[in-house]
Amino acid sequence: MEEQLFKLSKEFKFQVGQKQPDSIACKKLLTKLKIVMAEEGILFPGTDFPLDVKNVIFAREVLELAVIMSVKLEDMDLFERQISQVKPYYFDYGTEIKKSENELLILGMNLLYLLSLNRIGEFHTELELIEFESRSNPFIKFNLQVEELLLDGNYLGIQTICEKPPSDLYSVFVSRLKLSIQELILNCTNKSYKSLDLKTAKDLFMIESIEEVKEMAKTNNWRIVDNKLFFENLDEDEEKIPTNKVIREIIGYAKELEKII
Amino acid sequence: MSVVLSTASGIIALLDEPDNDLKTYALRKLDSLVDQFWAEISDSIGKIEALYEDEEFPSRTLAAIVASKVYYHLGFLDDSLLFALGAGQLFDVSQRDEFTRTLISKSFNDYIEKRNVITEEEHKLKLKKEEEEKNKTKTIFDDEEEDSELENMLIDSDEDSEQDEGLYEAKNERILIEKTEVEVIDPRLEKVINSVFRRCFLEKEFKEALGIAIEARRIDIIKEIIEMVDKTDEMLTYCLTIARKYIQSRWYRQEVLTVLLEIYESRPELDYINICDILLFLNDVERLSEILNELILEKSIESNLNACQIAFDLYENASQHFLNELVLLLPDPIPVNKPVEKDGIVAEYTPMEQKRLEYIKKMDQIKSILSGKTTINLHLQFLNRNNKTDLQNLIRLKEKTDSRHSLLTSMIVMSHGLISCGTTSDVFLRENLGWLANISNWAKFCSTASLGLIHKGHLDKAFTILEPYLPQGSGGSSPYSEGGSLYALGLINTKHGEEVTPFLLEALKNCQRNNIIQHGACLGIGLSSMAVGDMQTYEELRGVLYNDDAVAGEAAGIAMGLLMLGTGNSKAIQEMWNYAHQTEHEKIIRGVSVGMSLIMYGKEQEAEGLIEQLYSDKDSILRYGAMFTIAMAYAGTSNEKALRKLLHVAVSDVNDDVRRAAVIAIGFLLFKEPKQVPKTLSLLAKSYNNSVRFGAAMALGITCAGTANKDALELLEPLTKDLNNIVRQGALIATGMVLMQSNEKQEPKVSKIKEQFYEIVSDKYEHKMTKMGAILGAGLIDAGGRNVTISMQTTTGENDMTAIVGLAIFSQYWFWHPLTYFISLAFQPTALIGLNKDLNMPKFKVKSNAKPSLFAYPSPLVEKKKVEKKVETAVLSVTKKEQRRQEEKAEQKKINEDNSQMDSEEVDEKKIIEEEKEKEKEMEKEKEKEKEKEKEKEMEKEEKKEVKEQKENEEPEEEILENPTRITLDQRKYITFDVDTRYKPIKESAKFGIVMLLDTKPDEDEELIEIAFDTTEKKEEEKEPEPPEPFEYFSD
Repeated sequence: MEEQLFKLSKEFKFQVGQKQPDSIACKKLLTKLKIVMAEEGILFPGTDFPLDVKNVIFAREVLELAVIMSVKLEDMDLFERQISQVKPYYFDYGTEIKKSENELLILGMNLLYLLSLNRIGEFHTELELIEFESRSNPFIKFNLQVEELLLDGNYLGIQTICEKPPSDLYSVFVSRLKLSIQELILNCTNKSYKSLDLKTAKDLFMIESIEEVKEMAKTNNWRIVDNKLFFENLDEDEEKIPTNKVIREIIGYAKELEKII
Repeated sequence: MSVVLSTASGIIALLDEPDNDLKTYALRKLDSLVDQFWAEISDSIGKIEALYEDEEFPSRTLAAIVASKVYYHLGFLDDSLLFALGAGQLFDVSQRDEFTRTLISKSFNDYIEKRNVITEEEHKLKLKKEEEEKNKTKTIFDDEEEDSELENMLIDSDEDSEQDEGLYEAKNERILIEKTEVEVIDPRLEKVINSVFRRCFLEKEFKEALGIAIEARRIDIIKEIIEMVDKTDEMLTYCLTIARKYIQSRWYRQEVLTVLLEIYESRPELDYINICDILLFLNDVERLSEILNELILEKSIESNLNACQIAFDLYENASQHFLNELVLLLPDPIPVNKPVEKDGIVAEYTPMEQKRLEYIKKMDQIKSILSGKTTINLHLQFLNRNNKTDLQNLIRLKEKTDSRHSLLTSMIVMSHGLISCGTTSDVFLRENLGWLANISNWAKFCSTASLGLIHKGHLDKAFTILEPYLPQGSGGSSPYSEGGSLYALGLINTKHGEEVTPFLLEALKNCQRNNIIQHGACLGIGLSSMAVGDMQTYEELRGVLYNDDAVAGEAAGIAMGLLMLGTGNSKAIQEMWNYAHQTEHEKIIRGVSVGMSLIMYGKEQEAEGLIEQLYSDKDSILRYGAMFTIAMAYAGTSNEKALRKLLHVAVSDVNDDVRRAAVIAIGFLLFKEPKQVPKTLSLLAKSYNNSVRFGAAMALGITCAGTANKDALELLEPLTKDLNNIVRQGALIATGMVLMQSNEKQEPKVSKIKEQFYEIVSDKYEHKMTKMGAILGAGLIDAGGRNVTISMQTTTGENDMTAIVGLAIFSQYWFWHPLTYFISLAFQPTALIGLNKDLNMPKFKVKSNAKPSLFAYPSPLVEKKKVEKKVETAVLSVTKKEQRRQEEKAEQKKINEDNSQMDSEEVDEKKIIEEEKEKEKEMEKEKEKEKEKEKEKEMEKEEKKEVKEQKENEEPEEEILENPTRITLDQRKYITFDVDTRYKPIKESAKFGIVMLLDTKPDEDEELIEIAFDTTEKKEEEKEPEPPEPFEYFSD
């Protein structure tokens, strides 16, 4: 069995190591690996009996590779899944064994992934799990900077910092981050302005050309008149106080109170 | 190296893997971790559910059990159970963990609920079908008749029947549709339940299993359990009590009982007493009469005794209607002709004839028992023989009462009536003729009626006693005493009015519409022909009602209710309802609405219509009636729905009377669980509303009467010091009821409360309403010569209809004081009366395994009082405390048996009094000793020694009681029958009431107890206590 595992993991490593791995082959290999590992009891071993260090390291390696694979394949669902599978190996099983070299890289990617989706709350939870000393590590530091800029609303700063990500693997998330920032800006302008110059809009949206602005206008149903962009104000339902209901309930309470012996 | 997992997210993530093996692996992991990480898993519960629903997924059950556990942790038991059922084998019933136990109890709850709904539905369907079947046969029958009569109609009728068939089919379809709508029990649930039953069997937890089976209406399981158990007897009795007490649905109860009956009858040794018990429940008169007849026909003494015991039990528990039917069904043996004397030889009966004679004698015996006359007579004997009335108490109260207050004087008379109820002792009245002469009007009515109370149950002498007062036709005495005497006649002959009812009806007709006499006569008729349901009498009473006289009409309304008690007669209800809306007299409306409630006695759900109708009326008196209707219809059932309604009305109705009635009605519903009542009423007793507080006091009194319940007393105590006079009155009466038959040893408050009664009556500034309460309370606490208690259930725990009705009408005393006497209907002699085969009382002993002082009669007040009389009255209040201290000390000395010495400290200025007292006490002691010596002589030598030893040491731990004896409620559990070697009770469980005794030495002579006065036979020979002389009245 061990031989089989070894063989499979070697092949898997090789596949992932390629610049553009074969999606189908990789996934097949991973599943097979996991099944064998599960059968062997290597995958998430029980906590009742002593752990086999060798096995834990082996499983960790496989799962780390799986994360990298998912990034390379740009499969975000898979990425998220793999992250949560590998995490116990860092935090629970990992407490007793040597740290993995890739740990911070992978956790950093997870952080960036969360930022790109604007899941700030989860971002901080994850951050708390990482030791404080590791914050100076470039993989983590990068994320901290991005988050700070994001909070400040300094989108331009983000743009510049994102030009030099700490790892090639990060580029996937950086581009996603940019998109989500754009969306944020869009949402704000929508509410802040009634109309905008096309040129200003271009700068504001951090877009290369005016044509792109026009395209965006089309998709969002904005009108363009005389080189000006008019936002359709979405009808915002102000929540009204349900007067009648409140009155009715209060009278009801008073009645009940009177009934009390 | 061991590791603690901090998250299950890794494993949860595996669920998203495309491969099934991995998912299964993840689920298995989750199953072991779910107790720790359920919160985390619950986020992805959707995935797990999806896996469960995916029919191609191989480990669906695993997914189900994980989901079930997660939902269990989330507190969604419904979902949890659903998934657990889906988990099949993986949901292991034999596990003992929290999860499994919770789910099992949940599943039982669900199952029981569903079974109940389903069985009810099925039952309804069955009834419907039966009805349809009946209708169908009827129509066919009709058709046939028509056929034979008119052949021409043949074609038409054919068409008719076709139509009928079509209709029938349509109906059937409808039934089918309904059936599909009926909830169906998940077969998986059923499986789980069954496996739990199996487990119970394996672990021998039969009682638990039986309880569940009964609740879940699984008759098959009930049978199985009873067959399986070794101790069948125990199980059967257990099942019987459960079935009786806890099954609310009537038809289901009958079904269970039928099953039990089958089991009982299939056993080799027939347990007649239990069989008859069940038959009574099933209302199976025919079988009962057969069994009784068989038992009488059988030769053995044992079976004859059994028959008598059954008859006594029947009289106690069965309804009047049932008994009447039973007596009719019992064969009427042909009398044997006297053998003709031939040729101077005294002819003897042939053996056959002798047998027949014997049979006739026995049959008569049984019939007289069933008619109740024997029981009444025995109770009368008992009350008379064991009368321990302490009149001094009453005299004390009387002296403090201003005789100008007609209310209070009549209360004293009433109180006396209660104290001497059934004892036939009217010494007090005779000694106070002069004082009695002062009372007039309705007070006179009451005092005359009190004679009825004193001679209650003295059926045969009723007329003799009351003769001086009864209407004579020719003017005679005042209408008040005439009316009162008619009422008294009813009280004496309660429920046994075959002889007096015609007389009362006659009196009603001849009174020339004098409303006072009418009033008395109506009440009398109501009492004497209670629950008879005779339409002719009903019409007479209705006539009185329609006269629209307030005084007579009220009594007529109540009497109509009494007459139709528990019949649910819709015609009567309709007429009374209509009249309640016509008349303008509040008294009549009240009488009528109480009457209507009586008609609905015990009708439970059937009364709902009337309750609704009455309660939605805008007239508060009718709403008041609605509350009593609930009380009567659901008496003793603890029905939750009815209870909720009462509680709602008690706090929300706008009328105080209605609220009060609602609270009192709560007492009627809950009387079978007296311990629960104080809890239920504790809030109401603290209500701001006077009426609600009064009602709470009354309800406590009614339910906890004679129990000396600590919680009840605690609630009542502050009420006796309430700011409101009426509340104080109610609380005093209730306290009197609760403390009936208690002595200081049992409940130290007894003497305190008696003192409180006295103080209230003697307090010049106390309101007369409160005084009235104190006087009545004092009467109740010592009622019936201290030999009765108030109870709404018979000794076997059934509803005692007469008592319930009595208390219901008693609670109307608020509006009309003479109705107070109805409380006597609830008096239950706490006697143990042993009888031999000829229904005579032999000398017989039982042992009470408790200290004699625990259940002793309270010590009489007499001698102290006499001493006090000699001294100036002014000293009285000063010495009170001192006296109490002395009493205590004296009692201690009694125990220590050295009462000859006195502490010098105690000898103070009241030396003389004490000395006198001591002397008297010593005298008494000596007397007692003498008596005891006499007794001892009778006893055997060994016993003599024992007694002496006991006397020398401490108070004995047990007491030997002579037949017939008083045994209070609490004393029952101490009673054993092991002292008397000769007589054994035929029914082992019987420790009170009337017990048939088996004579183990039938050849020896029997020592019988002298009968104080024989009421049934030898009328002429026996001397009767003289009736009190008619007292004269100053006519105003």
